[in-house]
Amino acid sequence: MNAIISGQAGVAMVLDGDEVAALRVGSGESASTCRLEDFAFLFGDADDLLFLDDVEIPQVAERLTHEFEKELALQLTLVLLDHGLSPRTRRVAGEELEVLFSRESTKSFVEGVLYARILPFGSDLTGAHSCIPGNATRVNILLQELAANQSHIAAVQMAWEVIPADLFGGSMERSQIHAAAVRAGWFREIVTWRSRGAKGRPPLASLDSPLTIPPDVIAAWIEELRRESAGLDEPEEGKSPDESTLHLSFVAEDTADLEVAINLAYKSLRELRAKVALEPGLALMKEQRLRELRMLQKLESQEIARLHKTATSLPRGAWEALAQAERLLSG
Amino acid sequence: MATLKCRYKQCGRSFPIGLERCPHCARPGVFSNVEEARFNTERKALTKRYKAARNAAVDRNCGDQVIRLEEELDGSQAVINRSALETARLASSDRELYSTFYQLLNAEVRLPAGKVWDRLRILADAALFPNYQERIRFAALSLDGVGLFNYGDCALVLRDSMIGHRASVFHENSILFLRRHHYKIPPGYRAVWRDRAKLGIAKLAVHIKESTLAADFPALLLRQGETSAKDQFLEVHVWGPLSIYCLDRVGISKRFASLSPALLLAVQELLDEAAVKWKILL
Repeated sequence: MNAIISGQAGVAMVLDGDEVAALRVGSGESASTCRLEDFAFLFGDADDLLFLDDVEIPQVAERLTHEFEKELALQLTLVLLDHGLSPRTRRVAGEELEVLFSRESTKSFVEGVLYARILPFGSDLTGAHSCIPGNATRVNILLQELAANQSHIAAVQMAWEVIPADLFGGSMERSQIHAAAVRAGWFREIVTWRSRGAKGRPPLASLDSPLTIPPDVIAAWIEELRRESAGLDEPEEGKSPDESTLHLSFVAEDTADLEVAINLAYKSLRELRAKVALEPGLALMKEQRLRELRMLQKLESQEIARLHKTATSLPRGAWEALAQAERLLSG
Repeated sequence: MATLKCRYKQCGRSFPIGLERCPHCARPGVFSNVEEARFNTERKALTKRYKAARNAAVDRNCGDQVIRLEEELDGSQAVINRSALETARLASSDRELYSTFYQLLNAEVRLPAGKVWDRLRILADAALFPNYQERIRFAALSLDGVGLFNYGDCALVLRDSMIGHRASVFHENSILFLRRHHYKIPPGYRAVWRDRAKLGIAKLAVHIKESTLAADFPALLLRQGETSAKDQFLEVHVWGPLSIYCLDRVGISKRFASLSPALLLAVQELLDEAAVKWKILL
C-alpha cells in the first residue's frame, strides 16, 4: 500500500487499491474509512507531506507518530523561546520537550530548523533558560548551543543568500530547495562544520525529497563560506584597531576617510560582539558589519597600492598638488 | 479558457480566471471563486432551484419551517477543522519568532511521479478551480460552530467580515460532486457568500417535514458521519490565506489536551491575546 503522511496535520492517508483510510496520531494503528476526495480537508495547509510507497500500517503509524513529534517539538521550542507567553506555559513546554528530545532525530530536526536562521526579535533565550526545569538537560544543551552558534548561523544564512539565483533554476526552485535543505538538517551540518574551522567538506545527508539539487548550489555555498573564512580575520579581542591599520597608513594621507570608516567599523563590531551574547538577534547585524569592515579594508589596500605606484613615479609635492586639484575639480 | 471581466467600468476588459488582479488596469481584489459564482447563469439557475425547493415545501405544508431555516442559514458561519499543530501555527503566525521559522519550511507540495499518485494529481487539477486550486481553503457551513471533527481536533469558526468578500459556497464536497457529474458542473450549485441561504434551501428544503424543529437545523446542515465518508455538508471555498484575525471563535476537542498539554496552554494564551474566544468541547 501507499501512504501520505503529515506530522503537522497529524494524519496519514493510506491507499490500498481502491480502498482509502485515514490514521490519526494518537490512535495507534486503527484506521477509519475515508475518501480520496477528503484530501484537502484532511491535510489543510500542511506543507510537510511525505509520500511513501510499499508500506504497511504499522510502519505508517510509527512514521506518523515520529513526524508529529518532530513538528510538535519545533512548536514547543518556539513556545519556550517566546517571551510573550507565561512562565508556566513555557515551563510545561520545556518539560514536554525534554521527553521528546529523548529521540535524537527529533532533536536534530528542531536544530536543523533553528540553525537555518538567526533568532529574530521576540526570542528570549535567557527567559527560556530560567523557565526550564533543572533536570531538563537535553533542552538546556540545545539552548546553550543555539546561543553559542548564532554568529555561525548568521554567516551560513548569509552565504546561502548570496548564492546566485540562476543556479537554482528559478525563485520557486530556490525556495523548494531551501525548505528541503532545512528539513534535511543541512544548515545545522554546515554551521557545525564552520564552527570547527570549515575544514574538508561538510557531511550532508541526502534530502528526504524528490527534488534534485544542482551540485553547483552546494559548491557555491561552501565556496562562499570558505572565501569568507579565508578573508581578513576579525580583530582580536582587546587589540586596538589602530594597531591593525597603522602599518597600512604610512602613505595613506588621502585615505583618511577610509581610515575613519574602518575605525568606526571596528568600534561598532566590538560593541556588537559584546551585545550578541545578550541579544542573539544582533548576530546578523554583526556579520554585516564584519563584511563592511572587510570591504573597507580591501578598498584601503587597493588605494594604498595605487598610491604606492603613484608615489614611485611622482615626487611627494606633485602628488599633493594632484590631490588638491582633484578636490577642487570634484568640489 | 474561461475568462472574467474586470468589474471596473472604466476597464471592463477580459482576463483569464485565477489572477488576483486585473492585468490591464491592475485593480486588485479579484477572487475567482466568487466571480464564477456571480455569473448570471449561475445566479439564475440557483434562484430557479431555490424557488422550486421552497414551493415544493409550501405544497407539503412546510413553508414556515423553510422560512425559519432560511433565516438561520443567513447567519451560518464557515468552520474549518484543523489539527492541534496547524491551529497552533495559525494562532502564532502573527509573531515574528514563529513566522520566521515556519517560513523556512514553507514550500509547495510536489506529488512524486508514479501511477498511484496520478489519482491524486487528477483531484488537484479538478475542473472547479482552474488555475487557482492552491489558493482555496475548504470549510463547511455550520449553524452552531461545530465542524467536521473527522478532519481535525479544532473547529475554527471564521469571521464573516474577514471572509465574506472572498468566500463562495458549494452544494457538497466539490470533488465528489464533480466526479458524479463527469467533471462538468451544472449551473446553480454554487453561490456567493451572501446567497448561502438560498443554496442551503435549494439543497435542504426537501428534508424539511411538518415536524421539523429549529433545533434540528444544525444537524440538517452539517451531518457528521462515523467516518469522513459519511459526512454531509455544504462546502465553503475561501480564497487566500487565513490568520488568527480571521477567527471568530475556536472549539477544541478533548483529544488535543491528550496530545500535548503544553501546546494547548500556548494556543489558549495566544487566542486570549488576540481576543478570540475558545472552549473545550465535550
